[in-house]
Amino acid sequence: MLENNTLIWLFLGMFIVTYLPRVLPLTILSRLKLPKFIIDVLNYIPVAILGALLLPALLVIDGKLDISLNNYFLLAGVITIIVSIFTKKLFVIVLAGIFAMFLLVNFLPIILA
Amino acid sequence: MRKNNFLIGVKDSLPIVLGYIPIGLTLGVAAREVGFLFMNMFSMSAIVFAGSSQFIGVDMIGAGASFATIIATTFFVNFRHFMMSSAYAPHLNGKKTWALAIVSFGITDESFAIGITKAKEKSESFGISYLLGLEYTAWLSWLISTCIGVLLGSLIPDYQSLGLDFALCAMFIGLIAAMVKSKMHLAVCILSGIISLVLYQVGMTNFNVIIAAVVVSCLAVGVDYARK
Repeated sequence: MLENNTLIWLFLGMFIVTYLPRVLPLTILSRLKLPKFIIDVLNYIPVAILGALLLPALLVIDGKLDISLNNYFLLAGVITIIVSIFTKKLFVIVLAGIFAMFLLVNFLPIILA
Repeated sequence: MRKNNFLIGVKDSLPIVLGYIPIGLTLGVAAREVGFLFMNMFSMSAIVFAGSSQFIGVDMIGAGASFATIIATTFFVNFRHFMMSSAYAPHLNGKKTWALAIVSFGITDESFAIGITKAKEKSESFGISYLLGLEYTAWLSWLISTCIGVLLGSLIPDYQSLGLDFALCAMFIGLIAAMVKSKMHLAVCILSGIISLVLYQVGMTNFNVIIAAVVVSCLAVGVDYARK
């Protein structure tokens, strides 16, 4: 049985180990004059992180690599990438992606059946 | 002026909110199934505020894991924020420490993706006020949606067929499109994605993002220097 009143201690522990890596680099590094190499590396970090987050999110479904027409995330991803070539407006891209996923989930099984 | 930047941040958080609602509801439903009460979900989402580690945490609580194991796992799952926090540093140079401490609590994959894009555009609205609006709107939507999930449980209507579960992936694609300014940026993004995928597949599911990003970024800078 879950001890609902003691869970707060677990959450405090989770908070501490999550907050420290969030707060220490920013509060410390923003005071320092960073060497050029570090600045240059940090310049590439955002686009590298986004690529590293996106590819597994599109290709790994329920823990398994799925590169097939059954993977709606992959299909919707390809459609969204094509849309993002034509417009850079984030909200348009997000709505196009959601709409593509909506169409795929609701109509692709009917078309393929 | 500052209030204005705060509101721009709120507005920019809308794609995140759209993505957090279905994920937050799903987490709430899962948490209810392992025995969470409203107060448990509320306190967890309010102070931890990190989606994937909360899913894993709920799962491990259900499986009866010890608090120490869950906390250690949480540390590994969330360590990637270390690099995001570092990447913000050059853009928030000289800001007050207490302000940075409040802003850094709100660093998530999603808020970072939007915030750093704004910073790199050298937008005048980027700063502490902007980040507060961006991050804490996302935080509030996460808090509310996870709590609704735990209250309503399976009474929630089917939202997956609406396509909303793709919102955050679509947002990442849109932000990458805005960030890729050169062939090198595109190469970094693709190579980092492939390395992350390979690491994920061989079981390094906690460190795939940070290792791929650091290795490929260093490599790219090396190539840039060699070309000069």
